[in-house]
Amino acid sequence: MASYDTCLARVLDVLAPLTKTGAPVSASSDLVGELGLSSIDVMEMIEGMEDEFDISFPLNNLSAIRTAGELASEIARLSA
Amino acid sequence: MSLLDKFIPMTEVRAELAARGVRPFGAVNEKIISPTEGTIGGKRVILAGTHNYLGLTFDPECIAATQRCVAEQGTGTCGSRMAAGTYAEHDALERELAAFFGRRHGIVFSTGFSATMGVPATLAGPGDTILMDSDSHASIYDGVRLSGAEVVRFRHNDPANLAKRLERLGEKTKDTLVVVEGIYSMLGDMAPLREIAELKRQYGFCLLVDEAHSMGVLGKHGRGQAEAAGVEDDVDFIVGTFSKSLGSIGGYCVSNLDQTDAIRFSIRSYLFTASSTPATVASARAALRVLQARPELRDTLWRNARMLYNGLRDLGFRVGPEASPVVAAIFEDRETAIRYWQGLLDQGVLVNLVVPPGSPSTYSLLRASASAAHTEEQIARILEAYANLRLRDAA
Repeated sequence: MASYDTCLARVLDVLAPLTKTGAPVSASSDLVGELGLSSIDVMEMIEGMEDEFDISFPLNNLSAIRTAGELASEIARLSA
Repeated sequence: MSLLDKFIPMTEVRAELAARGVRPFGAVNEKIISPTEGTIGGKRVILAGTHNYLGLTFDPECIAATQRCVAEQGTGTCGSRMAAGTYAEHDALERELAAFFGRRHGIVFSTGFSATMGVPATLAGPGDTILMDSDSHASIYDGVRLSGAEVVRFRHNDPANLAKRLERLGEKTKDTLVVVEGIYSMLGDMAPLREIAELKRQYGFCLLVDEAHSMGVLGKHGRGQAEAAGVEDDVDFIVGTFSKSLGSIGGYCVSNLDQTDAIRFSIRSYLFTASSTPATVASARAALRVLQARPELRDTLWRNARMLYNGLRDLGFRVGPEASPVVAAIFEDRETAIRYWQGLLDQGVLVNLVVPPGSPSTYSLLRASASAAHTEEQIARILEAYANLRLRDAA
């Protein structure tokens, strides 16, 4: 089980080199609107997280996720 | 943000391509000369972007069957399969397809999309799980979303990654549908079905294989990747299309499971759309006969596919992982891919341009398809056109 803080730290690490806009990355960063990630970027990032945290991330849950913090929350929930 | 603002990026892309005089999405074939030649912009081109794998669109038997059928049965059915739109042609094709695949049941759909979308959408539901290959076709993505099941992707062609996901599901694997494709439409690589069938025996899930690009292409009898891998008994449902090897339009699902009839009457994309025209069904029936009677077409297809794949690889293009009739050249840079697409068309070669998000990753593709109807000289001309662009870039 991974804590929210652990997941968030990892999400922010992975996001930093992926951003297209140069905007600073934080828990409230909007993945698509603010950081400029494409749907493919998001899916590939999630694939990495699945391996790292030994989770299966349902696509159904993706549409409700907008920010880095929300993504970290979901990963923490799935790893519980 | 207004309702239609979401279309601004697409509008901008369309305008950008139009301003450059490039029309990769929807180039108009003004005249079709043969299965492998047409005219675009008044210029003769080699058709290397269709999936006319066996080259049957101008087959005399298929044309005669189509003409006879439209004269005898009219232009359309004006009804759904469920309500007055099932003709003897549909019924016969279902029996013939089931026999071809060695299955007890067959369902014919009006399009391939409605089959490959509708079957997974119906098989699984809320409380079930679908595990799908990440490179699956858009129709499968739409279908699994409609199902209401929990949907998890596994890494493309990675049985170990699928196994991890199955392990995490525990007892739920019995309520799980796994969806893969015989040949993947973007890179032309094939599903590792032998390994996936082993996982099925271990975990007991339901297995659906989309043989849209592999029917008529793989296997001793052309039944697809399940036949080629020797695991047909492990596949619960096969879906596919008539618009590739059979040179017509329509889709199918075949199965040995006795619930297939009940499933048929639960698939909304089967129930609530007009049935195929009798003539398109007649052409698919004729093509299925030709596919079985002329296995040498597969040999010619593979000769051309290998010539194209090896030729592009030898020219230094990055190609898909293995030779198949879908031959993709991979470009990290979208701009180069667009420029090459236009450069090929200028030299009389039409291929498909695929850019993100339509491609499986952040790269772009120029996707060509080989046909049994291509001559060796045409494949050589296609390769020469690619080579000229390479030389121009190196100069």
